[in-house]
Amino acid sequence: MGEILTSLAQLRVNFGIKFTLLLLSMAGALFVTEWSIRLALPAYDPAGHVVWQYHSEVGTILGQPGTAARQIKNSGDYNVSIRFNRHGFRDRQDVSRGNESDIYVIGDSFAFGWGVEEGERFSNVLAELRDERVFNLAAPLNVDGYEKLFPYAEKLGAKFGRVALSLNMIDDIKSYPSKGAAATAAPAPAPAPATMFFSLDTFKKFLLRESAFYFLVTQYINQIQPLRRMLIRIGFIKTIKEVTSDLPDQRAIDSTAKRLAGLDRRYDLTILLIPSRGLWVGAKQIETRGVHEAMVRALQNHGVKFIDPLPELEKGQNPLQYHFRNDGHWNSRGHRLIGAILDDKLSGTR
Amino acid sequence: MQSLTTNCRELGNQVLFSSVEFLLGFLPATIAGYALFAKLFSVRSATLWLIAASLFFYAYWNAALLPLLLGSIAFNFVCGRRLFAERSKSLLWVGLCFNVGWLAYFKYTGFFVDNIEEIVGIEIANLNIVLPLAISFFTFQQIAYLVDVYQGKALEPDFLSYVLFVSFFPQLISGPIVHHSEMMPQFTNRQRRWLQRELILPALGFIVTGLYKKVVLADGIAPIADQVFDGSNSGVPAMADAWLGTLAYTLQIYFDFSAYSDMAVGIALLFGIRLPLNFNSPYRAVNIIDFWRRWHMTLSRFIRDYIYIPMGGNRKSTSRRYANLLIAMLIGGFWHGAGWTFILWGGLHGIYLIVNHLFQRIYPGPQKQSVWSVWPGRILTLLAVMIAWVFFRSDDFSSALRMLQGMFSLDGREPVLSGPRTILWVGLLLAIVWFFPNSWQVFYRFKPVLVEKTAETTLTKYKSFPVSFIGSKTIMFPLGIAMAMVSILVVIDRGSDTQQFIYMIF
Repeated sequence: MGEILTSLAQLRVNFGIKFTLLLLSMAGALFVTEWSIRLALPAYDPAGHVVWQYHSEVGTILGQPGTAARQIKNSGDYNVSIRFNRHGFRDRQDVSRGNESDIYVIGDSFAFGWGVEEGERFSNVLAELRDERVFNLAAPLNVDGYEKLFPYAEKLGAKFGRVALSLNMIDDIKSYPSKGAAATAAPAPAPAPATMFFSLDTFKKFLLRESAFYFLVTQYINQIQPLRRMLIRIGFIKTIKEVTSDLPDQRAIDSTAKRLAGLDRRYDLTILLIPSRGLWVGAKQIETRGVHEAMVRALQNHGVKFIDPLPELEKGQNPLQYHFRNDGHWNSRGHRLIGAILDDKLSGTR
Repeated sequence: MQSLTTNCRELGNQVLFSSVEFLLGFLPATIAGYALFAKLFSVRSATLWLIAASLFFYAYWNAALLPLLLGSIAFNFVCGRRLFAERSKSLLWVGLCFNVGWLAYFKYTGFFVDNIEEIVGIEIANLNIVLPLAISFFTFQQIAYLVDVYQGKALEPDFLSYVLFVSFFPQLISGPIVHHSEMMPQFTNRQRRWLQRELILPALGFIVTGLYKKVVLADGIAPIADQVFDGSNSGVPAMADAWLGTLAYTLQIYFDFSAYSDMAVGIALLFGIRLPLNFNSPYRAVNIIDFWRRWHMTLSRFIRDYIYIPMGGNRKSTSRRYANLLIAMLIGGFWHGAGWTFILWGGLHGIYLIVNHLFQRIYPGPQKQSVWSVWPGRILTLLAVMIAWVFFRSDDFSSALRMLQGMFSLDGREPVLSGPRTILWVGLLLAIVWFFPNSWQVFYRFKPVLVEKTAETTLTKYKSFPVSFIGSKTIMFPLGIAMAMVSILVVIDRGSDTQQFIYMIF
């Protein structure tokens, strides 16, 4: 009996050792996988991806000055090069040399040319069509951030003339604190306590940010259609058809229009509306259209010049043809169309 | 200077061991066909199938050059037959002259004409000679065969076995340079079985390890070397760049050649054939003599047995011995490529060997090896090998000099390599080279390769930990699966950009 117990205990110890070894070797295998991909396919290395950093002199984020990187979507939508100039902008031209006769494009990721090559984005298309200098001062910001770019560019030496400011109807419409109200405004609410529950989205974002292996594998999964369809069905892959942002209310629309009107008093501003893809997909298409129209009215009420490309986008059979398949940004076709619309409107042929 | 020969890189397709076509198409189809013929008919019919597959493998690159390979095989087989019948020195010379002339025409005409043109200053001819793939390998292999037949050391083969001996696809393109005495008995063995159960694990292990070494390690580190060596064509690189670039190439060629050797061994094992060991952790060598016992071992064996020893080897005076050594290494360098940089590389190694032998006469070394006796020698050997690789890798002599100038002076340009990351990769790969057991040490218990006695001694100390630890299934399987998965992902991702093996151009 004693012998049996001893051998059972021995068996347990052996199993424990083997199991621990197996876990360790699996962790080792994962480590080998991750670092092997970083060495063999550096394009997937998160360290080589676009880096945004806080610029204290601007008071907002911009690109890491003087760096080059790749911008790759794991769904296979794009794989493009990004080069930031010494000021942190994605522009081969130096804004410090800009003068009143030039055109300046300010905006968020759409104006930045997210997912397209620098030469393909609408500001470059516009420059080519008009044979004029167009400076691009874009970063993933909102109206608060755009306001900070003007003094920064002026400090660098730019003299603003015509400015096309792109307004993203999904992210940019917010209730902004009025100018000077910041000092008396109520303190910002404390950040929500970290949830104890596992969030798939957060985990996916973490992996996308940190893992070359995850990036590579998900890229290939996206190319295998039956697998992709299955993962979409179970909610693991989100597509362009899911517009998750909440719709802004009238207060946010008015606040945004007011801030833009304030900017318009100081600069020769033309707002370029970037219609939400929620106009064509998702469950809130009617409400999204209502927001779009309300924003148009608010800008009209404040006397701000604007360009609404919605009619042109909807002229074709499928407005989504101007977006990437999975990523909501405009593809090169979308940028070409917007460049042409801008050229047309700036020429006053409306 | 315009080259008159067209490198095999520039022509046609290549069935690379590391390509999707090979791994998922050619190899499974060849194994399946081999198994089918062996099962339904006979080993002889399976051998025929293997020959057909090997010739297809060669012809896939450039079908027009297949007759050259077949012609070489036919000539040497007939010549061998005649030598078996009558040991005629003149016939042996005919055979040798044919093979050397054949190699000289295809590989070296351009080099000689270029040099003559350079000296006389006029254009002599505008030849466009295509360098047939693997010509250096199959020619040397057959020279060894003829010499051994003449010396009565070879057994008379049947035609099919001989064709397979030369064309067996796992070793056709980049070696190992096999010896008939080690291959013929295996090819003629009627009891040979394909996919022997006990060999499947080491076969797959070798293939996966080789593929990983090639597509991840060698091709992964290559851009660092390319950036520096390409830059040296137009200027002197910074000191840090020059050293890092040279070390990167040192590691690239190590993993590249080791990868090919591993894959060749693994693929041959699937057909029940054991190839000779060709690569045994050469950067762990403690001196240059030791290095040449570990690097491209079958070429070293050829040079020793068919060039160095026939010239007199060490049987004559000391000075004659060193002269023989230098000449043999110069020929070895020239064998690698028709260019002065290769000749210099060989010459440099010849000088290293002479210095090493002279030093050993003065100081034979300690009785018992210790860390203090091993590591200085290992590092010094690596540094010497690195300097020689500069000539081997550089596009021309002046670029090589610029690289060396960068390594040993502060006259270089601004550094172009990004520091910490490059150092991390290079350091990591060097650690693998120095501290990890090599493939045949891991799979030693399966006896996957034919090993010469001298190489056996390097194994003894690896029999226990860490080899037994790394070789245990608990460690090997997750690691092997990860390496296989990564390699396949990388191969698919690179698609048609798959890099060829460095030794394929020789």
